Amino acid sequence: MTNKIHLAPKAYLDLMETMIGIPVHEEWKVGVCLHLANAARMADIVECAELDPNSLELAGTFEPDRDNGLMEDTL
Amino acid sequence: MTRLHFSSAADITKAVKGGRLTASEVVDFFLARISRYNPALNAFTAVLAERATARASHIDAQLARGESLGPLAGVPFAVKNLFDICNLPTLAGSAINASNTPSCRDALLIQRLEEKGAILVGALGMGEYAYDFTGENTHYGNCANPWDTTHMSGGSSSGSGTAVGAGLVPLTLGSDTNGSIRVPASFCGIFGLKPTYGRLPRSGTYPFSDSLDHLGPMARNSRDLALAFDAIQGYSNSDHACADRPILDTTDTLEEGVTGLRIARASGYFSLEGYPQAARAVDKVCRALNCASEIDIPATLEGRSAAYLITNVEGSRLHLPRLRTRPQDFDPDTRDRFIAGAMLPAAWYARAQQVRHWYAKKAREVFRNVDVIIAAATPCVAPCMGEKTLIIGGEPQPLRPNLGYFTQPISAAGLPSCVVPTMDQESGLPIGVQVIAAPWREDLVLRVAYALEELGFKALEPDTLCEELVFD
Repeated sequence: MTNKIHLAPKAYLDLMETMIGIPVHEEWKVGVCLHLANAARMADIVECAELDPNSLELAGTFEPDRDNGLMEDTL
Repeated sequence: MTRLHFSSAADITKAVKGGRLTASEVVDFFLARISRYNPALNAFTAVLAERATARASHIDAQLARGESLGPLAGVPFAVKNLFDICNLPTLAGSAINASNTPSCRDALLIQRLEEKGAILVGALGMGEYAYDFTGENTHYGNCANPWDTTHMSGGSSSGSGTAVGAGLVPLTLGSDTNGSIRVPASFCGIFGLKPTYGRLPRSGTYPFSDSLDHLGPMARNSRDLALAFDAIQGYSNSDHACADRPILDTTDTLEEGVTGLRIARASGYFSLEGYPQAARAVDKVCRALNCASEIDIPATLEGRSAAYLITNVEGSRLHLPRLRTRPQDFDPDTRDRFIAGAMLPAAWYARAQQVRHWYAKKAREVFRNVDVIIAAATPCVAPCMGEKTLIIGGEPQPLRPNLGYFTQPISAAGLPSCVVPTMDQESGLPIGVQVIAAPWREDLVLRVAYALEELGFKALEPDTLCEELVFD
């Protein structure tokens, strides 16, 4: 798996804190950075998923009837 | 019936309908038991004695008039406090919501259970805004495990697991976004059902992550799960995610057995090297089912990672106004995660949704070759409260996200999963195993759960709570 995401949690937090408008206390920052780093690891895995790179089915919300209904059609 | 507290919902209804107990006697008994044991367990955040007593009297009057009663007549139940209850604020485990306007009606699933004769007796504690697998809560106190009160109950449906495990009620409702029914069911030694995504309407419940939120029942046996599940099924256009599907009769098919079912043990991502307690549990269940084959659900790591990101972003977006104005009022363990989630790039979320579709399709295709899959529910038995790390393969890992390691991908795929309890003899604590089937096949997971129960996989009675308060 190639690491494609380069996220420096502390610098990213400093940038986003003001933009998003959440007052992040100094003592919370270690915990927030830990979770940002964890999310970046997850994003890395998700980014490396072997989907069809030409697919135009982008971020459609999961629909129970359509997505799960396919099961019956294919069996 | 001298051990009413560990009686099944089915037996309670039978006793009420048969005139051996009145609904009022049942409710009084369980209210007394809650009063006695809840202070040590902290499962309930509200006890609705007046409402439950009135409802029980109404049922007794119906019975006296010879009216037919529903399949859950006289069964006390309680709900995770993210379900709306008339005249109570919907806490969702938070201090922030405590000042919200009280609900003006019950959640739809509460209404459906009561239409079948069940009696709501209270609201149950949970991890703040459902972002939790531990049962710990800074605002309302930790929910204790009925097997050892120094251990976690599991979460986020912590009170729902503990209340059933301790025999404070025979039936509860919980919610499960990434494992929040299945983790406490595993730790508390009970049965828990996460249905197919879209099966049950979530109307009147406080959301967490719309793309992944499920509701479901928790009970001491598979028949009670089936009775409750059958009672609460049914389409409603009040939840956009609710699918208009035919209603299953899982109670009637419960005893059809497992002969002819293709059952396999999950491998790959679900391999259990480094998880000795979970491995022993899955081994026992597979031996009992004569299950020797294995099957891999491909791309599970990617599916789990997608669920992680979707949950983090959707939950954080929901709470963004409060993160901006009163972040200090969040539980520290959830606040840091919500703040991080509010900052994640939109491209990560969009990709995660795309990958979730892709993974769910791959997971569905596995069921061409198998009917039921057996997998661990949790990596270990309930850790001690306050524990922050989990040893996996000799290495310390963050505990909170990893307690849902085996449940989270099943939510991403939207598959139905029932937790069946086993007892880990070495630790003396229970640990559950997941029984998983194709979308909309809750009947199969409940059938296998019932078969396992017949083979000895039952909800056991915690030593510390199984005596006293005998009903005369």
